[in-house]
Amino acid sequence: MEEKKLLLRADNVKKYFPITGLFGKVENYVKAVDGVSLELCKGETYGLVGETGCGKSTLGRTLIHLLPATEGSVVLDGVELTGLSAAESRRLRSRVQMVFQDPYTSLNPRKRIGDILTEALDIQNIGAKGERMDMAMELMQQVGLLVEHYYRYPHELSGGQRQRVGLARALIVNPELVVCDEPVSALDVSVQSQILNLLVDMQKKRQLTYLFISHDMSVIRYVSDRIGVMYLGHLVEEADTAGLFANPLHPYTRLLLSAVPSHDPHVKKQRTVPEGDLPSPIDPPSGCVFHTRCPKACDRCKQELPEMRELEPGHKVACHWI
Amino acid sequence: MSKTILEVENLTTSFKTERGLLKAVDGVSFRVDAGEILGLVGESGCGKSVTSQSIMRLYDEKYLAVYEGSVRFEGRELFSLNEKEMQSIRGKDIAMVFQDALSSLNPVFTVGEQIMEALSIHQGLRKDAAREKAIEMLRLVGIPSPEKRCDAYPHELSGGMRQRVMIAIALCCQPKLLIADEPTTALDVTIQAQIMDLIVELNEKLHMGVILITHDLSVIAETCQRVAVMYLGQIVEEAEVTELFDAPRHPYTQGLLQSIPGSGKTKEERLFVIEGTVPLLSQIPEGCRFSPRCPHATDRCRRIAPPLFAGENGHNARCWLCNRL
Repeated sequence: MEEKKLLLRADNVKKYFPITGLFGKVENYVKAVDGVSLELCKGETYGLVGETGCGKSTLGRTLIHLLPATEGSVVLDGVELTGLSAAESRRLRSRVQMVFQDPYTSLNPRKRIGDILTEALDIQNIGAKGERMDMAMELMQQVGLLVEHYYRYPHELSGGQRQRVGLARALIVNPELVVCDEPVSALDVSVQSQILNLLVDMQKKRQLTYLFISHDMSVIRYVSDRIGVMYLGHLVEEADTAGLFANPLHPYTRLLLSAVPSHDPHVKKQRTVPEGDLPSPIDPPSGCVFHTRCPKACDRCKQELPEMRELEPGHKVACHWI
Repeated sequence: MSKTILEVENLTTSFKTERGLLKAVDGVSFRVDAGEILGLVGESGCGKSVTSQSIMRLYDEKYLAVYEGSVRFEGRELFSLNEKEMQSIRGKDIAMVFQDALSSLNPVFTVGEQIMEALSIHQGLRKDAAREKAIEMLRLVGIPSPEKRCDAYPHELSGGMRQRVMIAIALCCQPKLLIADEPTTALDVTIQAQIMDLIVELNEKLHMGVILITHDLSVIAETCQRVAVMYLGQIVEEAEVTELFDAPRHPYTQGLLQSIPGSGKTKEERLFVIEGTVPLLSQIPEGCRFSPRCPHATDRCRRIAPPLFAGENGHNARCWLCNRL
């Protein structure tokens, strides 16, 4: 395998949201992301998977500086992103973009599709004024929209078409990194496959790097080259896609994979379903955050936070037992 | 052979709109046996939820909806009952679990009170007895420390817990038929697995019939015995679950199954795509409803609507070409 070029390196990124009480006094913090380190290589798709509230969306937004990190550093191609000024982070938007989950609420209902797309060009000052419309129309065709959609409003489009607009809006500034936050979760199966194909096509055509966030294991498995599993603000396991599914090491990954229903009615899975619910990120368990639901938990797990260790090349896991 | 508890025949539900009647469900027929889980699968707008709510007659018949056809529950025709008789069936003999537990539960009553309400209406239990039964139900659906949770309000519980409370309310009067409308769609896979296991376990224990409505084919594959696939208000295919997944006969079902990113597929292989989008109910195509999106459509498909052809082992498909595909 050829040496991949590093695009983004995150080191011990933390994002805490303050909980304010009476008179704005900070009473506690929601530890949404609590010390995550990862690297994204050029042209790869990094899948981020985990349950609701595990901090995967917050991590995605923090990595591209949509949310300022509380602690830690994010370096994109040699540029430190934490602590960028407003003007600098605006310029950053031509390199990193985001596709949102809900195509119904992430498009401005008062703007025509064409205006939504050219607005990004205006802000980034890309292309001459007269060319911007042509640029938008060309991209619309690439993502499978018709030229006539240029003058339509978002409510006139179907869910799948809206998600195409969402992707076009991200791609029009020609970014290197696109964070896709559950881009197909709100779509029906038949539309989902259209959008997934489109995402893969655009990646090949433009050498894009994706950070693909999803809770759907079959989708993540299809699009990702590497996968990171998150639990309660921590990355607990990271491996290439084939390795993770063939040999899941962390007890949480195993539980997660065993809970995914199979598409084959002949397979009757033996499931090990985790007991109870996700603990609150306001007051996370001490030591290993998974110890409250882990079938193997021991005293050491309750006290000591396991480090991420590389067991096989590219396969990292944070667990005392392995 | 189990006895049939629900027979739906030629059910048609039309909504009164400004532009006239819109048929959301058009001639749907199926039956559910006691102890059986029937899956109803389809994409949004295919009429699967309308079908289930029509069985319960939940739509206002004066201003909103027109029902045709027949729904027989244990031999009784539901469409000829009056509202009072219908009320004695709803929640008692036929119960329903909805997708969004937060908006289906009443936020100003504790979950215990909401379970007790059903018990006092249908079984005439007094407060103490109802409370005891409510706690027992919460324990049955696997809620830890039910004595305490009984006094909790819906917002104090997690999504999975709320869905369990919904199931507890639905099951407290021991219904003969449970309609679960996307019971796990809003939940995570681990919670989904817990809830589906619970539904299957209770289905076996209480020997009730279950209609499981979902858009998720893998949930169907794992839990149902028989499946009906719906498209634009009609059942397009019906079969035993293994048969449907092994040898789908309708092009729509085939497309759905192929478009799932299945195990082992990588992004080097393109996913199968059903071309186009689901048409609006006001623009239902002539002939076969799937013909504009069907890769095999012929002239006959575009002109004449196919009937539901009966096949072996109750494997039916609404397609002119189903014996050749």
